[in-house]
Amino acid sequence: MAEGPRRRGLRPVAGSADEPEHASPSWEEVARDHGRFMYTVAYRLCGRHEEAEDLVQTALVRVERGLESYEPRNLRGWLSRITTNVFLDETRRKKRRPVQALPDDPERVLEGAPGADDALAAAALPEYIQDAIRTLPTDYRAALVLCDVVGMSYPEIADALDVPVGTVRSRIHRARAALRDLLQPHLVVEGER
Amino acid sequence: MSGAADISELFSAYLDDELDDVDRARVEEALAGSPDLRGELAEIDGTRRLLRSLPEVEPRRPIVRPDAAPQVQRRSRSRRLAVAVTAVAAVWLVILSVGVGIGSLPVVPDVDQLALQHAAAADGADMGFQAMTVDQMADDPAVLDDIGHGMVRESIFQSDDVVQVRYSDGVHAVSVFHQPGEVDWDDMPDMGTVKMMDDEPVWLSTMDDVDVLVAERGDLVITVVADGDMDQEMTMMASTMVPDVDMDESLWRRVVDAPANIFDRF
Repeated sequence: MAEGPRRRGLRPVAGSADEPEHASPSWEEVARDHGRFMYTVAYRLCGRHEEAEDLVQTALVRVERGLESYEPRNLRGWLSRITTNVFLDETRRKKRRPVQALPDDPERVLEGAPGADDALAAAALPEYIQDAIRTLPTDYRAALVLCDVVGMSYPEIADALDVPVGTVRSRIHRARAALRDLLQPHLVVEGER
Repeated sequence: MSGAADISELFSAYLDDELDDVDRARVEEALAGSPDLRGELAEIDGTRRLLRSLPEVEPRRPIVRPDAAPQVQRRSRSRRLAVAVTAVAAVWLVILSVGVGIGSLPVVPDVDQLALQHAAAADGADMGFQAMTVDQMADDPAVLDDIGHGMVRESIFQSDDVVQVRYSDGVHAVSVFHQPGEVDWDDMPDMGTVKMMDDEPVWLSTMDDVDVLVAERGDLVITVVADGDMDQEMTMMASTMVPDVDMDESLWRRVVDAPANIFDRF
């Protein structure tokens, strides 16, 4: 049986709840210290470098406007929320397809990937995982990235996306379930190794 | 909540420690009595671990201050914009060439299949379409030599009553499909959205690697499939027809002016 529930903070997210409080940073400090983090969030959301660059630039415009009124608390939470909302705004504008068909033959798509018994397989597979993430509906993707990339709690995600906590719960689970089906050959399942 | 499916819906929240005591107890009770559920939980947990193991992504370019960015960004967009404008304008060129008719049957173009055919045509794959010569299509006014911006006709294919003309500038490609009928707007797939362009409806969607636009004029349904790296600009182009787009004014002006420039050729 898989291990029981784990408390948040399993995967340290620099600048999240543990981030020390300090005065509002300058734009330069945000770009220097958190630009890579924002880029990661943007890239995990959209899956394209060019689009991620645009998302980060747009997000940084909003950051610059918002820094004047920003109250130091959870900077990375605030940045990821802005980045995610820029992504969702862009997506609504572009009316991206909400659900793209999963490959008929996941083995074909994932061909050549390292074996599932390699504990470090994930590090060698990010693009395959990213491709799978891109097949998710955008709303699911946003909830998933805020949870598993940013490390937000469900109430924080609900607040960021302006949806009920139950919706967040459902989206995260369905996103993971869909990815499980896609990435099945590469999963390291407790008790099977 | 009682069924296995309902219980498994709680697995992610269980792993994330986001359940209240009641639901948590239900999950654990169900897990204790079901090896299948335990296996499913382990799979979800494996997926969760995989996602959380993803590394940070390094930006390909330095992050610059927003007020310094537009010049670089605009130059990039400007180049792609020309192709995107061409993609959308292709619809209107075909429309202008064909003229107006009445009395057509409702049609829902198979956009998935047409998108596949767009890609297959580049590779010479057989998707049920047959290569045609210009002479064979001499009577079809929707088969154009070029659609502007360096996009020239590359090939022609036909399958039953659907004709594909593929245009390319050597880098990007646009396929313009046409078939008899009128668009059954109510039955178009949910994955796209219908907007108004110059008081006429068009259906827009971004798919895996392509953007798709469906319009109708006269007795033809026209489906444009464009390479996906144009998606943002193509959508922006379409969005100019509805006043809710927020973009750089000079870019907006060029987008709005582009169709007019093309129409002037006729």
